[in-house]
Amino acid sequence: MIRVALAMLTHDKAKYVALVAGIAFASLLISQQAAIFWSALRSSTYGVQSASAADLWVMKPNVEILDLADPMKEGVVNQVRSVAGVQWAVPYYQALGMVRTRQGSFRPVLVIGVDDATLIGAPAARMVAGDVRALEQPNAVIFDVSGYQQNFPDLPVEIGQEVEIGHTRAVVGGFCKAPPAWGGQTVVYTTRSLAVQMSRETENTVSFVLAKAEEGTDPEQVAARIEKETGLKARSSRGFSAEIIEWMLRFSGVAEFFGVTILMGVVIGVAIVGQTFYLFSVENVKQFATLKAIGVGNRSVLGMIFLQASLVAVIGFSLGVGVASLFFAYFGPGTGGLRGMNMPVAVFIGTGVFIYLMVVASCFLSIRRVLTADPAIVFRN
Amino acid sequence: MASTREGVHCEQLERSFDSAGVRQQVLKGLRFDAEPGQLTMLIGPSGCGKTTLISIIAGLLGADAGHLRVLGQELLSLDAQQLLDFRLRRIGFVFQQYNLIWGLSAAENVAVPLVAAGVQWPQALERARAMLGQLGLGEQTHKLPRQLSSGQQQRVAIARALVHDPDLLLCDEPTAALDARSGHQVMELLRSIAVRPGRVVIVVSHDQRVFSFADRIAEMDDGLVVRVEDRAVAPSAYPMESSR
Repeated sequence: MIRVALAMLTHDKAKYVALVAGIAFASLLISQQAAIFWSALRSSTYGVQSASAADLWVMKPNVEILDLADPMKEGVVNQVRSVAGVQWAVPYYQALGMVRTRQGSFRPVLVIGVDDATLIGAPAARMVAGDVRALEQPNAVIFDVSGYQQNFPDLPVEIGQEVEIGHTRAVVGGFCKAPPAWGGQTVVYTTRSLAVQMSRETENTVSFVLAKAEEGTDPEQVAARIEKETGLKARSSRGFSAEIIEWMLRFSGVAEFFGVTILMGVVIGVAIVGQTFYLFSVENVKQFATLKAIGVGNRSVLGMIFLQASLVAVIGFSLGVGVASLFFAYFGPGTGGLRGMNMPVAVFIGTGVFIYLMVVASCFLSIRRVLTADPAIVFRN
Repeated sequence: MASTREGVHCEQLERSFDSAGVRQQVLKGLRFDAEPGQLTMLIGPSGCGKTTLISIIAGLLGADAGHLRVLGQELLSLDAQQLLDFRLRRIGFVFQQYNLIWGLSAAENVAVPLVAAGVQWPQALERARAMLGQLGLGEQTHKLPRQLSSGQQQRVAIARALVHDPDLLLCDEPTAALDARSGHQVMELLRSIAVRPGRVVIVVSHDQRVFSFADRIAEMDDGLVVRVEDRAVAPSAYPMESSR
């Protein structure tokens, strides 16, 4: 009865297109907003993502997220190094800075200072121009290319450009693709010593200590040991990322802001998809009743309805998520507010599951009408 | 299954419905018979119980009381699956509004009962085209219902009802939505193709113009068959036949 089900679904082209378009629109709305939400949350862990060589982050006990670091004195690095199970530990410094444009105005940047000796925390794998070793040169900085293009459109993307950050002369030694910072500032990498100089900090020059647990050691256990022996707060990279995201959800307002938008997408989606599919099935009640009168069983009728639902769900979802993915493919690598945003697999799968459940739920409402339809209605006008 | 020669026999058939909280008895101990090889017409005013009666005979509705023997089968004792199978293999339906599937071609519509019974589409379509050819629609098999006239649509519906060679054909007001000429043609087709030895044909109708096609007329009123008339009229004597 597959041919019959498909014929019933597609014979009215306008309604069929409306049904698919409704599902596509709902898929687009939900997946796009969820992906932006996900990407925004993910950007709050930009530093953790960037310093992937480290699997431990050590900080003052009052620190909850990257952007609210409370710098420590340099001696904490050796304290961490002395804990059993720590393979290495390096200082990491970050501060907000100002870059003066050629017109004399200022643009905020997030200056990340990595360990001068090892350059751990620098974006070695994300360089798009130049080499991370350029940071070994005096006054060298590496710019996130997207932020650079957005904030300094009058400056060419060329190595060797001179810029002024916090009254300190810097030379662009390379460009990288950095995970976007939560606040949207352009990320600039340099050595910790230069970053400290740019921020004019003299005493507390370590925002975090990045450390690596020894091979075969559980980072969580090492973190617990660091806390016990140093009195500092220590987290595994994964644990710190999870805590940052939890903090953002609780205190930043992002959950409410995006939650409302995503909820609207869901409500609009449910309304469009549910109503359209329900009406479609109800309009076909008499045709299903005719089939039942002829002798087609409820199981076959159920199969036909699920086939119709699945087909429109798959086509509509593919179109909607396809458009959303194109959106991110076009705007994600750009320099606007959407830079760095993408469509995570989890959002793709989640939207798909949600859309399918939504269609099946609408289907169940209409199925009830179809299955309980008195076949004798075929004898009525 | 028992012999198909037994026709349709109802005795003391009762059926009530709840309407706005009031129990309304639609069939009140009705007796009705339809014999194989005959076209039996069921007539009567609206609300007299005709639709309820053919719904029960078709196995689409149950009865509150009474006996119903259809084609040698005690229909009221069958379970839902047996009723489904009985309808699929032994009953053909012609509806007032044709009830064709709009997205299927004429041949595909006719093939539906065969496909539902497990016949593969190619074989089902072959038989459907042959059936449509018998009904004078051999050139229209690929057309969608909306591309056909009302009379042609009803002929497609008749082809669908007959394609699996049922032993019982139930027609609900088959001419009500047609003009006089189309209605006449449809009744002629029912007489010439549907009526055959061993097959029971029951036609519910209000249309006095087609009463003359019946071998037997059972008139219903207020839930009972109040009059039965055996006519045994030869097809050549039907009105309009001479006017064509």
